[in-house]
Amino acid sequence: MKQIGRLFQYRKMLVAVTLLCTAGAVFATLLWNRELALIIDTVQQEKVFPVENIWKSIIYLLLGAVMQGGMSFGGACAGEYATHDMRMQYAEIMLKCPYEKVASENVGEYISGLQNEMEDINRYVSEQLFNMISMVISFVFTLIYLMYQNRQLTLLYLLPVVFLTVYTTVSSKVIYGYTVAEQKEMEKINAVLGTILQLVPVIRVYEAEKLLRDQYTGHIGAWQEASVKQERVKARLMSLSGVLSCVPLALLLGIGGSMVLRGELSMGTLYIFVNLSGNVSGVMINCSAHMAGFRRFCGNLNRVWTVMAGKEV
Amino acid sequence: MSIHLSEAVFGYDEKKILDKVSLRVNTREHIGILGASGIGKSTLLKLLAGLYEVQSGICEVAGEREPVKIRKKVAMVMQTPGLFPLSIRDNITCGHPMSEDKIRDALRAAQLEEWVASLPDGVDSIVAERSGNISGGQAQRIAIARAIAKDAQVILLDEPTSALDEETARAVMKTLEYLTQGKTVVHVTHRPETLFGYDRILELKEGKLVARESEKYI
Amino acid sequence: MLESLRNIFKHLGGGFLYAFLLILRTPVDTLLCIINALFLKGVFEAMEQGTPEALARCCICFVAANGFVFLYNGILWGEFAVFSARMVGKLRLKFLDALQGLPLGRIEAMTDGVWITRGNADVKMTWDLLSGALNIPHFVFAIFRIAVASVIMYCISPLFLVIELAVIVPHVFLRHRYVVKPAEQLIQKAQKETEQTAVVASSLLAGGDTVRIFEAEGMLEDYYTESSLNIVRTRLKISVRKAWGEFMQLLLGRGGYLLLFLLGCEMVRRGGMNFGSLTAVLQYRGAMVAASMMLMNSLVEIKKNSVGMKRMEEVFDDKQ
Repeated sequence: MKQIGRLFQYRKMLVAVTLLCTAGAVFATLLWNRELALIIDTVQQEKVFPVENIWKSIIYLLLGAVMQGGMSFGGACAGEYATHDMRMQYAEIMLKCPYEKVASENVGEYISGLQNEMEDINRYVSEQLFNMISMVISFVFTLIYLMYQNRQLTLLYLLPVVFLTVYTTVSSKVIYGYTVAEQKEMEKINAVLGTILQLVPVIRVYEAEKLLRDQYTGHIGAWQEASVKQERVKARLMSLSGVLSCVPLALLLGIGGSMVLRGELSMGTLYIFVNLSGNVSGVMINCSAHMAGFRRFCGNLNRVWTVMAGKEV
Repeated sequence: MSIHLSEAVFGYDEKKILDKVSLRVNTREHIGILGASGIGKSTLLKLLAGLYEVQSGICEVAGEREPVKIRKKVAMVMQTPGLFPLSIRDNITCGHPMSEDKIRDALRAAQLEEWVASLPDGVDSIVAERSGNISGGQAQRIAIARAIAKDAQVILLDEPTSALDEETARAVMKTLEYLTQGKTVVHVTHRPETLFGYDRILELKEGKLVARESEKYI
Repeated sequence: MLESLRNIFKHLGGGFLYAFLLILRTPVDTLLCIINALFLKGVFEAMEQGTPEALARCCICFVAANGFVFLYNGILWGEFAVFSARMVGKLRLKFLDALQGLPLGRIEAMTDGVWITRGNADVKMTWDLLSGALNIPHFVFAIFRIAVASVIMYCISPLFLVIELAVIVPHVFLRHRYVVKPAEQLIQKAQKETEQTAVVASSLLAGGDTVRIFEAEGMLEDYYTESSLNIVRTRLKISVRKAWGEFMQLLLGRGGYLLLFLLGCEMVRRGGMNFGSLTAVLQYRGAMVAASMMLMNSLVEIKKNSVGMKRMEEVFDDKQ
């Protein structure tokens, strides 16, 4: 958190505006859905067309669109200017670094390598960071809103989501292992092709085409095996995940439907549960992937700040 | 006295590259320093350029002992031209205020005037060594023009022609003659034939400078 | 592009099997969408009619139908993986053979780096085009989904389809015209500027000695600041486009949704349809919107990857 705070130290205003827009967009969505629920209930029960709710829903729709656009632009502004500040600090370090240190191969290469990390940070900040913050804000407020609407239904719906989250985390780790193995085989193929290209004249002089083709074929075979294994594991795990992911919706509508039948819940409220449940379950199910990306970002940020603080140079 | 090096020691960690090296170079004197690759010739030159600081002893160049001040008094042409990926003008002025005449004079002296005039953007053309839009000889001439434009008292040369083919090297040597006229010059190289006409030739051996008979190499 | 595709399959074989597997995979997304829509329809109808048995039956059928579709998809995925690995292997070997058949002069006319890119990246691009996400398969799936959803919506009420098309078509057009296309060009510009900044930064390091001797720190810092600000300016232009895209997506997306929803509510009020059917209509609408976006994104990726396929084709057909 401290590292992120340092990244945005000169852009606090932009961050604040973005966060406000994010919260505004989330609230507009929740209010919009509430109006939809009211329209459904009024139409169902009183058989009248609720004009006032319609106007409200249009206002919330416009407000949501403006806030969403503002969040997107504000986040990008904050991200771009913050990474510009970081790039300038990096330039200052390079200019102030004593020549003896710059000339030392390790330090030079290390500082140069930082450019890739800064590029990764820039990409993450402008494309993902504020989306993630928005998802978290949306998750928190939607959860509170749903709990406020019907605590029992929310908890019963979330129970299988928790299980699904664990399953997704474990299965993505398994898939990652197979992906790494497949990528290693692919790198070998790429390396062999590179060698063949460098040796073309020698290969021609000594007629070694067949020898190298056989070697290349062998590597392709190994990659094919790893690739098929990876895809089959992925197919099994993700198909199961697909089936499991429909359980929360089935439970939500099954239990929620029974509540409607018993008169404990209105149909409109159940409908917005269906509409908004994705904001909660989506974040939970994908949280391991988001956390992995966020950890990578923090790692990069940490390395850049450490070097800039002169601890390693 | 233009350069005064006394008991200068420099090295990395435990390893001493220059061990109590002493050298006196008079104003406008041209000296050559020979030595095998990796012996520390470039390190010695960088010490004289104010890029490194002696660990002990004295390093005085053009009356200055502080590295930052020494740098203001020297110009250097190295094996690789070290061009910035900017315009020819920027590569010559290095961002300092400079008249058009001075830039033109430097280009003429470096035999670049015609070539630059033929470029669509002239002196404002962007040069990029790695993109292949200029040859090695042209790049080295721009580096020489930069050194000419700086008009420093001391010129340091670090194998400026070793990366060039023979014909280009000969042409570049001519422009170097203009650069070094009336200046104090220290030229390090492992090729003695490039030191033709130098006042003194020394050899760097096991961290020490040893005097050599210049005639021997001529 | 179709000509290039035909040509690639002529070299590799397996074109019919590819088409067959693609046809088998095509209905999966659409089936899932229909199951979802029918489920919502059934559940809300059960609530309206007050039949808990029907509600329970709907939930069980929903899970079972999903299970069936995902089982089908899983089996097909495995089969496609085998086919895909075999085709990539063939593509790579074909490239090697084509390369070995070329005269040395032709090979040396390009750097090793270019050939390595052709042999590695272009093979990947070619196969991504044929099987990757948001490429030809998703393009086909999207068209199928739009077609099926349109027919179903038409059957429910032609008015729903007309309204939906009246929102989606301008949305797609505006998004492509004012967001995707300009952003594409700006992204390339930003990439070049990033490279330029990296080059200036490198010269601060690699040319550290020259910088210090000629006191070029100030000049390079100014250039670095300017090129860094250029990146910011260009990327902000992209962000403005993206923000417009988000604004439009929400406005037109939710606007279209609201229109259908209100029309449906009015029909429900008049007794012309039940709420269950309306939820199904909204599901088909969602499928159409998502498929339209998928179609557009697929077109961008297809365009990008077909460059790699074209280069691959050039190597295969090089008779020099």
